[in-house]
Amino acid sequence: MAMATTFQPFLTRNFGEPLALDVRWCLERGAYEGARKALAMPPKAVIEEVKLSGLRGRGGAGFPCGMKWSFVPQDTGKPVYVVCNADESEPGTFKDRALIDRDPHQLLAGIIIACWAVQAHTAFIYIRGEMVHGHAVLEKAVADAERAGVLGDTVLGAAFPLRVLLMRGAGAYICGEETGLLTSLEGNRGYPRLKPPFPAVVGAFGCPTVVNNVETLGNLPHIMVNGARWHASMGTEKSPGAKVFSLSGHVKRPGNYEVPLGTPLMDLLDGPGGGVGGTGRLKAVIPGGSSAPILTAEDCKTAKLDYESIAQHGSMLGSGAVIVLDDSVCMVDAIWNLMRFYHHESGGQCTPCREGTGWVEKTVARIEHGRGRMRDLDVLLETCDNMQGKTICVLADAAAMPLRSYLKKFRAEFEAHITQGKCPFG
Amino acid sequence: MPFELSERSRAEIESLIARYPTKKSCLLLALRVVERQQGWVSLDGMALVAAMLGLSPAEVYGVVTFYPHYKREVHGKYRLMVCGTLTCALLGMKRLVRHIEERLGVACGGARTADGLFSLEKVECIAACGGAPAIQINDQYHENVTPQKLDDLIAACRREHAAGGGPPMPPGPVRDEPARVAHFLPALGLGRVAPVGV
Ligand SMILES: Cc1cc2nc3c(=O)[nH]c(=O)nc-3n(C[C@H](O)[C@H](O)[C@H](O)COP(=O)(O)O)c2cc1C
Ligand code: SF4
Ligand code: FES
Repeated sequence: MAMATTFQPFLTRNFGEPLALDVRWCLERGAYEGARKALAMPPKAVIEEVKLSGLRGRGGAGFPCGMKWSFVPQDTGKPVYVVCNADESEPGTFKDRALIDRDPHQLLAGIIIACWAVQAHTAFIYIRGEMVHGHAVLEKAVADAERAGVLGDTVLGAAFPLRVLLMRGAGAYICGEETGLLTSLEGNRGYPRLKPPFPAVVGAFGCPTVVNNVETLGNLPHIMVNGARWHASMGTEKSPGAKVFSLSGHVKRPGNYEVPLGTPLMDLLDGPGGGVGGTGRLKAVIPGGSSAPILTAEDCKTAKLDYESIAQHGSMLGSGAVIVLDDSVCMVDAIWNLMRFYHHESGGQCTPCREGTGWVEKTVARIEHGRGRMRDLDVLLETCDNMQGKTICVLADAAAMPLRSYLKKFRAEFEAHITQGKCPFG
Repeated sequence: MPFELSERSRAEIESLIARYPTKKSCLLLALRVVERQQGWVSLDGMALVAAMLGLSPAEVYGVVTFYPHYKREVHGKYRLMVCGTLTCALLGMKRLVRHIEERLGVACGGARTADGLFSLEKVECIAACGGAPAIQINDQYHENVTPQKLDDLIAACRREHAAGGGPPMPPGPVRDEPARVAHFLPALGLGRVAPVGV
């Protein structure tokens, strides 16, 4: 716990400060100093600094940010775009919404740094359609920044024109997947595209494009101000830095908490989270959004909140959405809820995903209602086999992975539903 | 009377066209302009946007129907969107939905109330799980919702409506919609395919 007491939150430091919406206040407080510093460096040096910091993408995949930027070709003669992924729709995740609503200038500063690094003169923020308030906050922040000379024909006095354009989604989870997002940004139904080519090479409007999550971009001003070493000194060797975790479910104090990566899961839950809520007895935790495989209470004892530790426990850190389940929860009911989600959100382009998510949803529903057969459990696993790695995007995998884990770790509960002919939890 | 874009809406769409890389990339935002003026997105509104962006009405219709968040004719003036995903489900959403159904006398995912004021539907996680159970009424989020809080919210909507406020009222299901949709399809070369219900 020594780490937790000395750690100074930086991403969320303005969360209690209404003045953070005021560009003047932000400028006085140095919110744009990191951007200023970056603009005084050669773009390549900025990429190197971010590489050195070890910053990994916070949208779910954890891909090294600086490395992604270095894939952007500079010799295509086409414009380069930066797209901020603010579609936040992975169940359990609510950090990006807070980062936008409460500190929009931190995000804009990060966008300036990313744009300078890859030499993009247009950035898009794709925000999910439901977040009407966040969109209004960003609209104001961008307009204020333009008036204050932070964005526009010159950026903070540098001869680097930069426009930030907003785009609003309209309620489709699949538009959070980066290629679905780009297709949507171009004015289409949000159908993901095959990779490669990766967006860094062929992205928005056929041009090289960097897609980064809100929180990833929010880290950049702090890295530029405090240096790569400062960032790398927090967290663990392979998962440096800090992260905002969205804690929800059966926990006494749900909310967004920023802690260094590598913090023991139970420290988050028992510390800021105030302990297990509901019945007070922990059954399981989803550590990284609904597509992350489940951890049992036993797993939680040793799991740490970093990419490697969670992977060693058979799951993934994903978006950092930690959902806590107490022992009153029926695991069949829980996975049914999630399979319904993935079926509903399947974009429908690929048969294994469109049909697979539907089949597993129906089969799990049947088991939950006491009409399942033992053979269904194998059929579910076979269906998972046929869904994983066989589709355009990984939504099908995102559905199959948790299902597999619930079947493995809570198989007895599935069997009890079948043998008793009803849900044992009533 | 068919829907016409106001001067303001037209100007707003023109300004999008001037700023965004392609006309088509303005589509999602142009539909929001229609939604704000009209209170929902009608087929007429889609056709007008299509004309301004140089797209076929069928293409616009295809986009609108892909994205469930656009407000359509069928929704109530106050559209209640309750989150049914895991965290909200764990924290009592089912009970809450039953409560609203009883209060309003309509089923979740079904028709709107007879006076057109309310419609109720289940949506997926709205990024408010820290305040579960969460619901959205039109543009507004409401977190840590209880039956009491819901009654107050519904009463506030009724008061706003009685005072002549709030967004325009969608007309409810338009009876001849399938036939009208059929007019959109030839532009996609799908003229021979009769939509269900015609
Ligand atoms: C089905 C699916 C949904 C996703 N949803 C989101 C999302 O809502 N927000 C997000 O930032 N990334 C989301 N991602 C990850 C993005 O594809 C992409 O990896 C990310 O935006 C890259 O940014 P980062 O490197 O900064 O994390 C999703 C991925 C998949 C497969
Ligand atoms: S895997 Fe599913 S969501 Fe992804 S492209 Fe295929 S059908 Fe669409
Ligand atoms: S699960 Fe309901 S808001 Fe996320």
